[in-house]
Amino acid sequence: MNCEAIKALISSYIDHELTKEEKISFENHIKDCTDCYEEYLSILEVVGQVNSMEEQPLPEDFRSELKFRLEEQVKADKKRQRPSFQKLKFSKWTSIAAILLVGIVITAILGGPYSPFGKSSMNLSGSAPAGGDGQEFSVTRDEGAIRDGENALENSQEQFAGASEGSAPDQEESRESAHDQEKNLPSNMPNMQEKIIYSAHVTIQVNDLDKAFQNIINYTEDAGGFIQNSYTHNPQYNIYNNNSQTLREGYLYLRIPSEKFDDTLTSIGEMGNIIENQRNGENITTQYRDIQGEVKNLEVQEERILEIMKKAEKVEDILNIERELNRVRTEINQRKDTLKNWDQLVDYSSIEVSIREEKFSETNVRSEPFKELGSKIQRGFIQSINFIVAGVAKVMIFAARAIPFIIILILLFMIYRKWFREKLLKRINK
Amino acid sequence: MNEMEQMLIGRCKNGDISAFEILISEHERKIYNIAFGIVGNTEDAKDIAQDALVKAFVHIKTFREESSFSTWIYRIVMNTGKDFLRKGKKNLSIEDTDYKAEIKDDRPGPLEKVEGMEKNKEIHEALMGLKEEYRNVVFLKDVQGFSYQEIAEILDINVGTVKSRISRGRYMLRDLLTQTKEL
Repeated sequence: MNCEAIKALISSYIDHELTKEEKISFENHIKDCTDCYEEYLSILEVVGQVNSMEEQPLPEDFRSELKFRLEEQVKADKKRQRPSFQKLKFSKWTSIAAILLVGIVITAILGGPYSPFGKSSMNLSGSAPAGGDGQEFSVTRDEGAIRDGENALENSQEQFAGASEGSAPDQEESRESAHDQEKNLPSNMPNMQEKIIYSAHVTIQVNDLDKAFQNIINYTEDAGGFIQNSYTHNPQYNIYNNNSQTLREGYLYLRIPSEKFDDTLTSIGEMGNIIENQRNGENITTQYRDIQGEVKNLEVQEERILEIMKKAEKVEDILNIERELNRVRTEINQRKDTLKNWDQLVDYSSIEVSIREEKFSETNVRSEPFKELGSKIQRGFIQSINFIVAGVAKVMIFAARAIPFIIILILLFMIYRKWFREKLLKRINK
Repeated sequence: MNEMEQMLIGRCKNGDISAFEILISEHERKIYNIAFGIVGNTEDAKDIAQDALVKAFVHIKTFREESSFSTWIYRIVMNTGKDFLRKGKKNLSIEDTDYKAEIKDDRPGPLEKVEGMEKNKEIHEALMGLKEEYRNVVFLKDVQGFSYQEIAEILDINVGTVKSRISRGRYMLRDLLTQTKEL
């Protein structure tokens, strides 16, 4: 090894950082080379001198000052960290969660199947063509149109088909909506109303025939109606009848004020199980109006005949005129009777109730609630699933719409955090 | 890293100031002296040391148990000192150095006392004359007695770099000292 290399190793030798081989070769060289040896000694002296340097004593107030500063730091950290750190976390996640939650609630309210906004309200129907051709019944037609689109259509159809015939086919249809809307309108315009004859036929199954019978009678009388016909049938118990069921039957034909028609049907339905249910609403408005029109015409005729009679002089003429007058008057009376009859039918709807007695709860196991349980369960289940699916779809749409806002929020949050970090670093590095 | 240290460090992570004070009590002197070795006067050394310790307390949460606590803390001190110098608060003018030497009981006589103090001041001034990177390694090795490996960890440099810097630093120091002798 040459002197240059050896000189570079002096420090390491002094610090015992040489390998065994290096140490041996170093010592060998040093033995012989005075130059290197002197270098070694001078460095050794320097090291010795530096080693002998005493440590500085700790200043007296060092510890107390340090304690003070540590406490200050802790206070500052608490102030800075807790509100801001929590605030940062708080704002980002809570705002996102809040947006989604609000979205879910809103869509649930507006879009769910149980919402009030979902019902298709078809109460308002389009205005039917006002058959305005000078007839006095056009006003009636309009009123009818506003109330019930179907009705108006039929009216106009009949009108065009030569309604003066007065023979309208029986219309067997459940006029639930018509009846409801008729109730909704003020009934202070009797002449303007539709003339509909309501009738129904209900078959119910009850536990106690006599009780049900009496209930119906009471209800009818309370409602201001009357029983037109009634009938009961009690079969004798015979040895051929193995079941202890007594197949008793009852029948009532009741007339009820037409306003109470629906309520009565509902009440009867609640008294037992409905086996059969049939409702009719026969609209005789056209015929009625036609007959009314004819009556008016005939009355005009009557007037004229009376006028002529006053002027008549010859007995022969007077006799002829009287004959004519009688004819006309008979016609008028006939028609007026028809109208009266109709009035009564319209004012008092008829309900036929057939009652069958079944003592099922004692001998038969009631399987009613479980009938179609499977499909009922299925339906309810599917309904819930549909609700959830619809809700999820709406939430996803809402979330997609909210994404731009969320992105803006995240950007703002990141900018704020960056700025905040810089401030913190500046503080620490002072 | 003994158990006592570990327990104290755990407490410090929870913000326990007293635990921290106990933890650093055996290192305080060295920390202060390292700082003093960098700047050469008590005021700045105090600032640096205290800054470093507060920093250490704040960042103790990030301290991993596997590393050595003393090396970690000395490194913080060195870095704090470096930042301090970089900020231009260079207080290395020799006139400002208020070098104090601890006076041991076995030092005989006032004359030798003064002589000893004089000598120390000389060496200290010479050290301050060294460039920062050489001064640090020589200081850590010869004043504080760290191993090459420890110095490498504290200054975050290779052991080889430590070796060469120490060697050259000592040479430079020797030259400085012989110069003053000749004056």
